Amino acid sequence: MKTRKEKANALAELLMAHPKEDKAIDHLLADLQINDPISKQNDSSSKSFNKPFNDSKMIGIWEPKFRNGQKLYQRKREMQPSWSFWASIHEIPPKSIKKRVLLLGESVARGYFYDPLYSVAQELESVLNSSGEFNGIEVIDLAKTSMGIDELGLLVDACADLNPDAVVLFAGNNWIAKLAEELNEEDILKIKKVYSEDNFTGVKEFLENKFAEIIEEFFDKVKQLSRNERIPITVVIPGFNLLDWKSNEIERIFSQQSGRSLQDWVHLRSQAEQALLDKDYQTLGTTAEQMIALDASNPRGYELLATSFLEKGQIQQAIDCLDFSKDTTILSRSRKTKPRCFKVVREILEKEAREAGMEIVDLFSIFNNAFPKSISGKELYLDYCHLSVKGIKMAMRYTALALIKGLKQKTLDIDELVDSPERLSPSTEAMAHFCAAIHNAHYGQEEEILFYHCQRAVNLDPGIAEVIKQYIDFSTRKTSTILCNSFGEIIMDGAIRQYEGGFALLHPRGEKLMDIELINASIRALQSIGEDCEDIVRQLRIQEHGVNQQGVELLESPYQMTSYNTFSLGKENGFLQVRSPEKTFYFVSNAKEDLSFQLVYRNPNFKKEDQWIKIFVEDKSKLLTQIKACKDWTNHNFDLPASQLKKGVNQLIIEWPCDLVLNTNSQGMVDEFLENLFPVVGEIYSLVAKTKPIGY
Amino acid sequence: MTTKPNIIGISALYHDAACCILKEGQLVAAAEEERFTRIKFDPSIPQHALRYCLREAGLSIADIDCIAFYEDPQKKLARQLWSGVVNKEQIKQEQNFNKAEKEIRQILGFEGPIRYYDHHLSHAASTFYFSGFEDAAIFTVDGVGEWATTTYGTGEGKDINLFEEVHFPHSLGLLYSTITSYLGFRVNNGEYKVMGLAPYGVPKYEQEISQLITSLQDGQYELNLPFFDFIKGKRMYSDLLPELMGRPARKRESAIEQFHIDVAKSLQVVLESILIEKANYLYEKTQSPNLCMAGGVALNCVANGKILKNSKFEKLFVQPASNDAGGALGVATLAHVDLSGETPQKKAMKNVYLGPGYHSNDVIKLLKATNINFENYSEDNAAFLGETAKRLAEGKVIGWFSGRMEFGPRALGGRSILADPRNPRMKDRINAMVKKREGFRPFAPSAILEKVSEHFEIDHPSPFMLETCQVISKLELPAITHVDGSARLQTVSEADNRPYYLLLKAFDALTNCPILLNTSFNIRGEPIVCTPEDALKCFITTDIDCLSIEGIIIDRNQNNFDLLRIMLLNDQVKNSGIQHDVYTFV
Ligand SMILES: [Fe+2]
Repeated sequence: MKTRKEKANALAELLMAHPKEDKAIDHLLADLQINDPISKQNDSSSKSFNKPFNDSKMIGIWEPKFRNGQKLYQRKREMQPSWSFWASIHEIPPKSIKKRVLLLGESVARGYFYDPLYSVAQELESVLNSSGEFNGIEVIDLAKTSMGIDELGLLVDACADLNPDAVVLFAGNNWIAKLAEELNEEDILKIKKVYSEDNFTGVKEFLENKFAEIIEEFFDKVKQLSRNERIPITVVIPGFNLLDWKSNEIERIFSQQSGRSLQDWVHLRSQAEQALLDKDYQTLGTTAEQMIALDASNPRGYELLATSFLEKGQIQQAIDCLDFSKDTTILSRSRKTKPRCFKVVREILEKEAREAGMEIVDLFSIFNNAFPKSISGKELYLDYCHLSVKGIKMAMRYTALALIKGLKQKTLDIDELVDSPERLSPSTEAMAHFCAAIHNAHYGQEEEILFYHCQRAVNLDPGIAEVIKQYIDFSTRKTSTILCNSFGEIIMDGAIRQYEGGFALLHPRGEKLMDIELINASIRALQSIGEDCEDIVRQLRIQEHGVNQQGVELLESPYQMTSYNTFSLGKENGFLQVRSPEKTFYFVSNAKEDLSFQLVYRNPNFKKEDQWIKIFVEDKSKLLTQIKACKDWTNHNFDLPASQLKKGVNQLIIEWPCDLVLNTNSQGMVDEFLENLFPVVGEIYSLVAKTKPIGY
Repeated sequence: MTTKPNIIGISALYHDAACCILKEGQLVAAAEEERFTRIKFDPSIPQHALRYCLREAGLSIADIDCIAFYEDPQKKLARQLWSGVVNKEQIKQEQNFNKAEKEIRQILGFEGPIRYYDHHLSHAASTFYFSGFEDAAIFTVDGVGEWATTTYGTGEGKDINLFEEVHFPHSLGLLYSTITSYLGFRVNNGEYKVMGLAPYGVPKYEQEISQLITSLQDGQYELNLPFFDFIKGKRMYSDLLPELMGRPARKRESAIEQFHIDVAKSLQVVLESILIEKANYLYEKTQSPNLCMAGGVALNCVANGKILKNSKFEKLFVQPASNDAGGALGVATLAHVDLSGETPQKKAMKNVYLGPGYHSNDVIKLLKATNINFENYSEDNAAFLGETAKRLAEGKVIGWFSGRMEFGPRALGGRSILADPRNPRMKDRINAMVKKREGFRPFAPSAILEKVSEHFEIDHPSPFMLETCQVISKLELPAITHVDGSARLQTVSEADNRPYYLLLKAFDALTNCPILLNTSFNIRGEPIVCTPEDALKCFITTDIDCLSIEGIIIDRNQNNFDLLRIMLLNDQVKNSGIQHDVYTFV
């Protein structure tokens, strides 16, 4: 008879073999008494442990206290690490003779980019008080940055203890996270099946149904609050910056299905973009439709189609298109996709609130109706969903209207409400725009919108130039931001505290960006007010990032990451994976020395011989060299003469062959599914730029 | 193969992940992954260390002929199955049990041949091939690899032959870790603390500890298993152990009492006696005058000294990276021998400065972005050394960052914290300002090789701080002398580390003391610093007086770090990696 050790050795051998002999394995498993785990322990309890305030007595970060026999709420010291996510209120006093309104919501409801100098709750309170309808009314700010749906549910459950006369619920942007969390293996299997049969449309429908269940379950709590406590509830349905928040490069990655080729899509895309340049909106429309037909999950087709509709004056069609484009992120390509209110969220909120007799403020419709000949965009939004002052004021006037109806059963017309007296200082508004420029840049928006916000900032308050120059300084340096003097100064004088206290400017280890487009936009804006720092920045860039004899690895973040968006997979890899037809690298040169490049690349999914990788310098009209696609890692060196270089930032564009055959070796269901859907077109292990020794 | 191969050696997915590169037989770079990720004991497949090694070697991944991995995945799986630490559900779900292969392919992207060698063979190679001995006896001792926990072997030329193994669960390393856990320290981390406690104790519990282990014939021994509970991977010892010792286990962070110190001493005595016995057995079998050691237990330098003294071995070589990180060196040389038919390294390993180095200009660029005041002596090395030595003589604690980073667990003058060893308050000061650790252990000394015999009872170089010797100096050296009069010495020669040697000389010129206190440059719970930025962050967030870094000196008293310190402390990822309450087997 074999010993336990011999059996274990035999089983290990069987398990390592390909293919596996299941019968023999099962036999040995039984023999070795290797069984299923006793129980999948404490799964739910460990989850709820992570929720910071799953304490029925707590309201957010505030805990009940008694003073002179009266109950009030005070911030709990143990919760200090999360204080900054909430309004900076230390104590919520017992209810007074004033009417009390609670504002529950997410960062949009906090007044992101203005907080702590101005907030949505403050605006609402001000409009209500100015309306003359109440003999004193207060708004308690219970909004929290990054509030998730579960946390919001707990808050809904707990908030009646503050004795509100009305509750405003202004949320719905962050809920997709819960859908991702809820998906199990079975769902993934279904998604795979639905995708193969019914493409993205089927998957979207499947996910939306699941999402709807989550929202309905949450809304039961809201209904309970309204029924049990007889509190009138106003539901504010968030809008989205349809016109001026564009999908980013990661969200635009082509999704491959059998028979549909990336090559065709790339071709259509460049055709459409040419039509856009030529202002040929007919061609743009038809080409964009073809793009959608090829990849219904890709936002780019819808965005281009919307432009064509818009130019032709078909506003509603354009809105529908952009609404759909926004919702394509339900099939998550990026792990950093920004919050948004999906159509399904809007619809469920609207239906549930209507059926329960609650007041509804549908910002999506209100904002879009505010611009009969266009679509709501940068005037009302500072980014994807956070509102500008104008947006906040408009939203809160409608919310006040709904509250007056709910509390006083009185229906007013919007024009009957006077404006609130809340006025922001130009410097606060300017700072909000500059922070918006940074935020837009860090999440992949184009230079023109960055310039718009920078320009607004310097026009509102030319004094912001000093902060912008400090930003330019630390952003251009190689040293980690946290160590930079210019960053320390910004923090010290509190100039940028509207952006999460300034700490939103810190970057993860090894992920510092060079912010080229943002800084270029800032330079242009500064020039418009007579401040020219173009040469200084160019010098600083050369000093910090200039290619030298030791060589600069262009895979490092400043040279290839232009935003914090990353693809859902592959971040753990020790090399760069490219899923778009081209990839741009940035390098800094003094334009005096010739450069040499050492590229190590491969094309894991390439189809046939004699496909070529093209390398351009500066733009796609200047082909520098082309090299053969190759399945295995390949070293390739090439030169770039100084005559072709600009002093300052230069670009190297690598265009990959897109005729692929899938060759994934990934493990695990989700990975495999995504790898097949979004195939890798090329991989780079290293790309080093060096100056050639003079006289060489 | 016409030219010699380029080989990557990897140890990973268990404790200390590391990577090294043999470029045509030359060991040109090696580093632990933790130094780059800043996660202490990071076991991840070493993608950052690999990228560094390739860059240092001037090679690309396409130039690599082979990756050698320091363990046999199948044997390890067998041991895990035997122990019952994996369940049926996990087995059914797993497609590929070769995690090493999976990650080498997917994360490192390597598509060429992978060679696997046994864990203890890797340890054996890491010591024999780097010993400079033409032939030697080989003794490896650790917690556990695949099955083996102790091996006996011989090395001759390019051949290593391990002729006997002790198998899991019987393990000296795990005995040591079990008592470490009982004494309230973390497994895989607190063992050296137990070793440091021992000299203060009396072996009152030798009898009890002896009951935990029985020596058998030849190289074999056996743990008395009812006292242990680590096989299932949940905790280290059973309820019988506290019963045997007559006291419950010490709770972490609670006071260390004489009892605990005496247990540590007793453990040390038992360990030494069995190691000496088995070393003598090994000598009988091999008759070689040379002994090579590696494996985690070989880092117990007190025991090493006793082995040499109490056996017929004349010479001892211990691989400075005797922990699992060193397996990367061993496995790369094994692959080299197999591919080329010859040993890559004929001479003894001279130094461990195999990690990244930085230029003064890198440091100046970094500092110019900050508001830090500094003095630049990068053009005047003598002044730089003189100024640094002067500060040391004034009693200041210096962060010393010079040349390439060390490979292995010891800081040897590349990334070190230095101070005057004569200062009686120095031990407590450094413990309070950086190490935030139990204050009982003295620090280690570095001394100029030529002058070492005036101060220490030693007649040969000890460049890796792997030996203890008696302090015989006329100087009072309280900060580096153990209660038993010994010290864990590093000798420094000009050939091994010129900048550090010159600093010692400059200090000697000022003070007539050719010795410095040397401890690793890191905060408690963090890996040793790697880059100038790491050094700067560590300097700012601790109370070190001065940072001497590639010709540049930063004085704390010339700066106000209040804001930076608060920001850095807030930002610090509280990620001290893998903290075990039990030895992990998976
Ligand atoms: Fe080991």
